[in-house]
Amino acid sequence: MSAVRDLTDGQQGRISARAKGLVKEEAAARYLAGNGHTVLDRNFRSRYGEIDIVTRQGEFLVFVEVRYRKRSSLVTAEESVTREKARRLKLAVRRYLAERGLPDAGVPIRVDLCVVRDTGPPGAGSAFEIIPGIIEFT
Amino acid sequence: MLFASVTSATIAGIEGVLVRVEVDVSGGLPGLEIVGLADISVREARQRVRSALHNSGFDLPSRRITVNLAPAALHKEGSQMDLGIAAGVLAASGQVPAGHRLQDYCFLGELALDGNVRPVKGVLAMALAARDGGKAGIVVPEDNEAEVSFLRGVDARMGRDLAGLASFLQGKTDLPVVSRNRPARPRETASAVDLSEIRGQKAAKRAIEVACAGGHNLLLSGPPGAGKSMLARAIPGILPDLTPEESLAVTMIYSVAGILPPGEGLLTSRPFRAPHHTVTASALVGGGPAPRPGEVTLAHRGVLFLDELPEFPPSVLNALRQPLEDGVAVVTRSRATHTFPSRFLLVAAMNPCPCGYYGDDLKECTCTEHARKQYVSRVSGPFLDRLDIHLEVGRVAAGDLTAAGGESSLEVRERICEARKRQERRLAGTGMTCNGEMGAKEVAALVTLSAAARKLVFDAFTRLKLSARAYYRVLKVASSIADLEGSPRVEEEQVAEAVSYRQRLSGEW
Repeated sequence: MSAVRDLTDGQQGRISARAKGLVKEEAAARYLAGNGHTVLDRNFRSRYGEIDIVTRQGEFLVFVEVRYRKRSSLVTAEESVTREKARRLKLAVRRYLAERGLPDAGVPIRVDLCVVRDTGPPGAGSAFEIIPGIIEFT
Repeated sequence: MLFASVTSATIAGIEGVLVRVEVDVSGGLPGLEIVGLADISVREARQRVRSALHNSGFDLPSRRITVNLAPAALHKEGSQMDLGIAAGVLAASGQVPAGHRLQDYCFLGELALDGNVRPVKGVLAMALAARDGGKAGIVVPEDNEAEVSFLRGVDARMGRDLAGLASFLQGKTDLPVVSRNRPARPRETASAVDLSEIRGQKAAKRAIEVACAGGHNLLLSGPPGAGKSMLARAIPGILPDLTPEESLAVTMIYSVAGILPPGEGLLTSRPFRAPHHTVTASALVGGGPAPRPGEVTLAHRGVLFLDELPEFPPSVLNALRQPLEDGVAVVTRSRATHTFPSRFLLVAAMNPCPCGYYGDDLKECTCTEHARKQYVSRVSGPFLDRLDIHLEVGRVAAGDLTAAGGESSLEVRERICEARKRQERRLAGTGMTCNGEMGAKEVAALVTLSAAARKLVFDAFTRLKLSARAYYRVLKVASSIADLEGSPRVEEEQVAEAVSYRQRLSGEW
C-alpha cells in the first residue's frame, strides 16, 4: 500500500479518486488473471477514453471496464455505465483494434464489466463480479 | 455449427410467402443484425429474441450474428418470424442440433420477453404457404390453434414457449399436435335480424329475396325509421351457406386482417360489414404503404352495407366502382401491387332528401327542391348504374305493426338456395356462381326470354332510356326472379318486376 500513500494529495491526507481507481483496477486484474484471463494490456488510452484492462480468455479477446462502488453508493456499478460511456467504450475498442490489430483473424470479441465491491470497512478486502458481454456493436 | 437455415413466413397482400431465415455466427465485434428488407416490427425481433433466449436458459453468443431473411427483395413485416430467428440462432450457435426437425418445419410465432409464444396475424395463410411449399410441418402459436385446426396434409404443432421448442428440436420431447375437427359454430347465431322480426314491408322483403337469389346489388331509400337498416341486417341470414372454398377464402382474409374471432376455426357465416360514412377510400378498398385489405375485401362473399349513402364522399364511392365491377380490388402502392378478392353484395341505404320525408305519406318534406337535388346528386350516375335493384322502403302501416311477421329467414333461405342451384347448373364451367356475376356475354348466351318478355325489354329500354349496362342488369335480375319461381325461361311479368326495380335509378331524381 506504500505506492498508494505516495498518491495522496498531501493536503488532507486523503487518497484521490484516480489513485483509488488504480488500486481497484490492479485488484481486478489480479482477480481476472486468477480466473482464466491472460492480461494483455492495461489502461489503453485513446481520445475517446480509457480501456481499463484487455485480456485473452479462451478464444475471446476481452475488454474489461472496471467499476468500483462503495457499499453506501446509491448508484450501482452496472447503472454507472451510461449510454454515453458505452458509446465511448465502443469507439475505444475500435481504436484499439485499429492500432493493435486482432491477435488472429475471426477472434470473437467481448466487452465485460468487472464490478468491485468492498466486503467490509475500507481496506478489508473486495468482492468481484464479472458481467460478460455488456455491449453490442450493432 | 456456425450457420443455420430455417423456414418461417410473412404475409404479402393476403397471401402467405415462405421466408428462409439464415443465421450466421462469426467472430469479431459482437452484435445481432437483421437484414433482408425487414420492417421495424421485424428488426425489433432483436430485442425480443435476445431476452427470450436469455430467459429460457440459453444465451445469445457474444459474437457477430447476422440474420438474413430471403428472398431479400420482398418486404417483410410482422413479428411472426421471431420464432424462426430464435430457432436459427440456437442452431447456429450449437445449442440445438440442426436436425431434420429444424429443416422439416416452418416456425411461426412472436416471442414474449419471457420466452412464451404469442399469437400472430395471418397464420392460416402462412400455414397454407408452408404446406404448398413442401414443408412437412408447421409450428404455430398455441392461441392460433383454431385457425389451422381444419388444415390437412401438414403436421401442425403448437409452440407454447421457446424452451419447449428447443427441447423439440433437440428431440427430447414432442410439441402438442393441433387438435382436429373443432365443431363449427351453429349457423343460427350468425344473423343479427330474422326476417320474421320485420313487420310489413312485403315488397321490400320480396326485393331482398330477389337480390339475394342472384347476388344483385341493392339500394334502399326511404324515410327515417322505415326499417332500412333492419332489412339490410337480415340479409346475411337469408344468403346460402358459404361453400367450403368460400369459407377458406373468407377465413384467410380475416386471419390476415387479424380480426378472426378468438378460438374460432373456419368461418361459416357470411360476413356483414357496415363501415361508417367517414371511411376513407383506402380503408374501403384497401391501402397503406404495404397494402392491406379494406372493407370490400372483409365483406368478400358477404354483405357490404353502406348506410346514409349520400354522406359518403363521392371520391370514396367512386373507388368502389372497380371492386363492384370486377370482384377484385387492385391496390397499387410504391412498395407493391396487390389484388384482393372483393365479391360482395352491396346494400346501400339512403333518405330521399336531407330531412328524410320526401315522398312520405304522412309527414311533409321541409327541404327545398335545390337542397334535395343537391343531396341526391352526391351519388354519381355511374355508381347508381351499378346497383341492380332500387327499392323504396315506405313507412310501415299502423296495422302491420301488430300483425304477424310472416316468413322466417330460414324459409326464405331455402327458396334462395334452390334458385342458386339452378344458376350454378346454368353457369357451370364459367367460373361464376350467380346471375349477378354474369357479364354481357353470359347474359346473351344463357338467359332465354319468352317472346312477350323480349318485346317488353325492348319497350322499356327505349322508354326508360336505359344504358346498355342497365339493359343487361335488368335481364340479370329478371333471370333471378325466374330462378326463384323455377321457370326455365324469363316471362313477361318477371321482366316487368325487374324493370320496376330500376325505374327510379335511371328515371328522374
